[in-house]
Amino acid sequence: MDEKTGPAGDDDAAAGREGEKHHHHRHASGAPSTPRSGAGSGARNKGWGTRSHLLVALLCALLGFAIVVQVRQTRSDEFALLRQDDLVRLLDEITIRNDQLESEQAQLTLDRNDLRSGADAQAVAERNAEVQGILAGTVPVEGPGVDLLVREQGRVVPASAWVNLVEELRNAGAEAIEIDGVRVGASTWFSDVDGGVVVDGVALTSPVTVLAIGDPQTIDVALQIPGGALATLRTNDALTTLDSRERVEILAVRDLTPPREASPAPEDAASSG
Amino acid sequence: MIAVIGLVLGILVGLVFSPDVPPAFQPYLPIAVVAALDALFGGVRAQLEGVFNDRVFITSFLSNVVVAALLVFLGDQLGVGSQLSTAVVVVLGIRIFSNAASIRRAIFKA
Repeated sequence: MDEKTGPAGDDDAAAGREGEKHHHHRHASGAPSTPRSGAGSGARNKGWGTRSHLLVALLCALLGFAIVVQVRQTRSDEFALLRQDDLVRLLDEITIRNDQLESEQAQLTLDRNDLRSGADAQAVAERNAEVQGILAGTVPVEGPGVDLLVREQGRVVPASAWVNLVEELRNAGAEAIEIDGVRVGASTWFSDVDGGVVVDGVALTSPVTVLAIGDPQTIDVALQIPGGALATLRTNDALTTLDSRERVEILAVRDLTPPREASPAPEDAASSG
Repeated sequence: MIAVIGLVLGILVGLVFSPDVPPAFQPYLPIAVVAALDALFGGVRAQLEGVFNDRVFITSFLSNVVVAALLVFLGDQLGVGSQLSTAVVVVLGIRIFSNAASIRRAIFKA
């Protein structure tokens, strides 16, 4: 056997001793008569070795793959490594924060709307002041209306008749009323005194001119109702002359005294602003 | 050598495909990776000490991964998942350290 090994045999002789398998293997090709068991066990070992090597490589590949995936995962998702209770705590905090932000947002929206409406608040306030001035009688007004002249004939027309007249005018939609130079407002009062009637502290002297601004036709019809305001005046022996006019000027104004007891309710103040 | 090639190949595949981890595996993958790293270091140490055995490596690799994942799963079921995960990582970390020390001794003789 040794003769057939050739020149390489010298090296082999030294290294060959280390493993019998190795030795046999070297000579398997040179000597067909080598027992099959040697070659067979070598092949089996080699097969198992290749397979296990591949398996080792596969596992290492799997490990590398898993490492990369996990690193990517950890980087991409900061919550991936948190436990359930940590996540629940985080969720709670986020929910609370969300509520806070929502209420803040609602407050800011309200503020924004206030500011936005504040831009034309001036105009609204001016219009309101105008309307309220007309209704309260603090500004001179003009418009279509009626002119009623009441002449007393010996008898004094009682205060109740004047109140009746004012009520009828208001019912008919009169927006501004003036009686003998006195602008009629919400706090106007009539009082019977000796020999006459006092309205807001001013004595009425016949003939009394009543001016009312409103739809002339409606007022006319309302005053002429049988048993109505004019009828009441006439039953007190007064002569009445009612004229409808395209244009009536009411220049008398009222002085408003600030209310002493009443003050705006907060809700009303907010909604009317 | 083939192991290093496999490792590099796996890293490359992971980089190329960069898949998402299924949510069901998310708690177990980090622990499994650490367990596999432990097995890898053990394998390297055995290789350097000349007692490396494929079969031992494969078995220890797979059993490490499976046991680590099972421990975490059990911990999650018992409500001590985070503590048990920490315990597993600590133990595996110690083993990796001792293996790394052996590898250092084998390479640098110091």
